[in-house]
Amino acid sequence: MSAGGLHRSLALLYPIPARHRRADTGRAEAGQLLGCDDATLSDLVRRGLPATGEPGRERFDSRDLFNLGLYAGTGQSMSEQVFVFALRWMRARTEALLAPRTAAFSARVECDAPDGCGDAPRSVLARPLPKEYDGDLTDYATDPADAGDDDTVVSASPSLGITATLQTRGELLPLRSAGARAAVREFLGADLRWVKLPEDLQADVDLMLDRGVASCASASRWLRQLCVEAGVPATTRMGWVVGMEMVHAWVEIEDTDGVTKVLDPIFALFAAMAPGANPVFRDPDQALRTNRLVPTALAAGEPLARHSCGGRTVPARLTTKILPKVSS
Amino acid sequence: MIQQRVRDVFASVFDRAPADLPDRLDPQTVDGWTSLRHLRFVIALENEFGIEIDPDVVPALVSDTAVVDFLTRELDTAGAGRPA
Repeated sequence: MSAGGLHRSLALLYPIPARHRRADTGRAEAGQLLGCDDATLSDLVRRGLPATGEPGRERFDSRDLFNLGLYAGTGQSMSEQVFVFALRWMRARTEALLAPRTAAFSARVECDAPDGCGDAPRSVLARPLPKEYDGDLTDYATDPADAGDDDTVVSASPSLGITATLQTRGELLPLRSAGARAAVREFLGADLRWVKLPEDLQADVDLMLDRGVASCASASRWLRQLCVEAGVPATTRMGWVVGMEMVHAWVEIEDTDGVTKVLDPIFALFAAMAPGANPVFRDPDQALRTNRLVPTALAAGEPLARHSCGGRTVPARLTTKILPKVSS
Repeated sequence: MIQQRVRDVFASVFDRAPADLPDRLDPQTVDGWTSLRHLRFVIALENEFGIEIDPDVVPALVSDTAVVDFLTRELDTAGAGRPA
């Protein structure tokens, strides 16, 4: 294969900063992920692909490899193939993006402290709130028992889980505010690329604007800012996506007709990369809330799961499964 | 022999010799079963069997048994739709 696409992508790569870098991938897997041979991989290292270790035995950060492959344009990298596959649902007809759907939801937060869970553990999970978007939550259970409030589930234990059946539904509304439409157009014209970033950088709007690399949190924060500057009341939301193992963020605005509407900037970026995606995802005159969004009460950049023990906040490991019920 | 073809695809994606695979294939019996590798496995299955798999069913395809059952149904349906 031609290495030209990988070279061009490398020139645009925002490398994971050294303080966040983890050498989690060896050469053999790196070659598989990038869809390239050993000589091309060595060439990429010579041209600046970050790596640690002696020549021939380097290790890489899997996020650098994912981001590099995603924009290679070769169709050979694993990230391109996985991305196109995972976003096939964006080809659906508009009615299918809005129709009510049901999914089995489970989320669990666990203490991820390197030295084990300490005294007085406290686990916190954001509660899924599908009713906010005309959906429903049934068969709801927590393990252990819940001591939280309307927005969060809390337990004095090393781990905490939620299971439920979710009903979600979408909505497509005309975007009436000229300011909001202009904000969406400015966002779409900004030449941003979605990339995998360390958690600490995902909500960094300055980084996004400086380097053109967006996450759902930074994109949502910026689009919200553009809306507010245009005089449109706006906020951000954090939640999950049915069928995708990802935490997601988007924007809600109050339109001039008084109706709260969803703007989803990252889905707009994804749609530009998903062959055959329904154009409604990038239509600046419409507000699309797909039937895959599962909102919480949190704003973009806030963690859906937290854990503390031993008198301090420690890393929390969040595992989520949202199994869509597929009609036969 | 759908089962053997599934195991061959699995071995290729997970970089193992087919003979070294455990009898049952699932995230508990196979090290390195990440979400990315799972998707690579599903994409490789599409190429091997010449079908398109709905991404929404992927989370349920978490064992060789589930995959074989799914493929058996899909291939039966595809076969039923072919002209005689």
